[in-house]
Amino acid sequence: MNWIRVFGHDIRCGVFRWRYLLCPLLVLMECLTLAKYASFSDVAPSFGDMALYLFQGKPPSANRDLDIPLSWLLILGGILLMELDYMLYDLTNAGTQVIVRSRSRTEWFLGKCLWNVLSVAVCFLIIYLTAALTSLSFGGELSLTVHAELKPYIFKMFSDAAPTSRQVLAMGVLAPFATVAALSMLQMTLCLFVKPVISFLICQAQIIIALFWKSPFCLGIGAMVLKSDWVATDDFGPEYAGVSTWACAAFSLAVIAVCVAAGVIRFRRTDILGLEE
Amino acid sequence: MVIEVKNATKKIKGALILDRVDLTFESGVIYGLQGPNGSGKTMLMRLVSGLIRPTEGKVLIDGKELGRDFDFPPSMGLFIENPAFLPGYTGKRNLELLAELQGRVGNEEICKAIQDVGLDPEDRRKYRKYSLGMKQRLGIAAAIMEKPELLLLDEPTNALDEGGIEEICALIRRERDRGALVIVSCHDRELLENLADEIYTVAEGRVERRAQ
Repeated sequence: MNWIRVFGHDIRCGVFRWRYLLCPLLVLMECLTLAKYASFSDVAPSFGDMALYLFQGKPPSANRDLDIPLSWLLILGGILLMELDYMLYDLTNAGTQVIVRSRSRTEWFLGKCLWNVLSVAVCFLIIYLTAALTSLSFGGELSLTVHAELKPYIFKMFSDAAPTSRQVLAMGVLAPFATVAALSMLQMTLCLFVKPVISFLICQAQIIIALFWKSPFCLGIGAMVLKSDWVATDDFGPEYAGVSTWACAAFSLAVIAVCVAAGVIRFRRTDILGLEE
Repeated sequence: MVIEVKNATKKIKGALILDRVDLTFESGVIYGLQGPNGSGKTMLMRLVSGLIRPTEGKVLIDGKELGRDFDFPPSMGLFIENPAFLPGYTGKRNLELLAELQGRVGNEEICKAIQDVGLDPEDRRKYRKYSLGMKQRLGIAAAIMEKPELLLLDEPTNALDEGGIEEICALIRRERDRGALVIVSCHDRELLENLADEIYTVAEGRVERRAQ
């Protein structure tokens, strides 16, 4: 299986990169903010509290207010920015020798798709490690329990929400990961059609649209706890009802599949040029 | 091995890079491509290597169409533009990693290729510490180590001193004598006249054979 050898090259060059050590900076401030709120209520934040707080996002709103969750944007945008350049950088550098030896454009691109998902997983691992360590350092536990005292800070207007541990895992870990992996895959595939900076801007625009929209078919919503139907109920009116987290995750997986297929087809005709060309 | 470039035209963003190129290359011959910067030499190399696809026309390798029957020539050593390796590994480790992709050659062949280009296989320096000339030599070693049937060398003597140029020219002749089809592009007309069996002039995307 040649693509596994190609993937080995990507693991060496694209997965363990120093830039990923910036991931803690993306979330540390938010983790400390929740720890401060927790100290007001005399509780220690759990890992579940942290994970949900990091991926709060923006609640559904009737009046489409312009309250922007900057930290949420920073996490998603930061990860996408870190993933932006690898494929084209590799293709114009050491990867040229790899692709001609792999003898298959399809296998090379499939290796890059695997790299993409794995490198997003590494970013998430570092982010959750930061959250877990912050939680532990404030006396919290590595559980998916959500403390009742912290619900007003985590769920805001939906403070009556009582998600189960399974739902916390889905909203705070699995769906955000699937969403960001899909966005990153979309960004990489778009790089085969437009310049990387345009691809990055398209994905950023998609994230911003997700803040003001409410549909499982909008990438980005799966990474927003406050738009999940396990949290956002229609108690305040139908416009405040959330969308299914599982549906968002399933749509993200569908986007990944479409991007892989589109990328394989497109890459068969893509010219591999040098940086100066 | 016979490579036939048939009426190949390449346009990139509307600019004509290669214009109705018709060429035939055969094994056991060194072909020289000579022309000024931007004339299309590197693009012709990329076309034959499968890195770019022709806008019109086709490239046949032993009768099979590149891009349709296979993505890249089955046995090819490629040195194109500036060599690029993993900066944190030694030169030998870089070649080992590349060799693992095809599994055709082992330690012995890798060491020999490194020695053939005038480098030391036991050198523990990382690639990032290499001088420009050493990087160039390692790039050539990567191209020859698997004893390919097709050898594409784009400006292989850049950054080499006079002695180094002689060594690399001798190496290229040995590859030709082994039966490889060698295509070399170079600015240096005199060098190419000494090295190549046939010379083609590339200018504004057109390729013409030069009488020798």
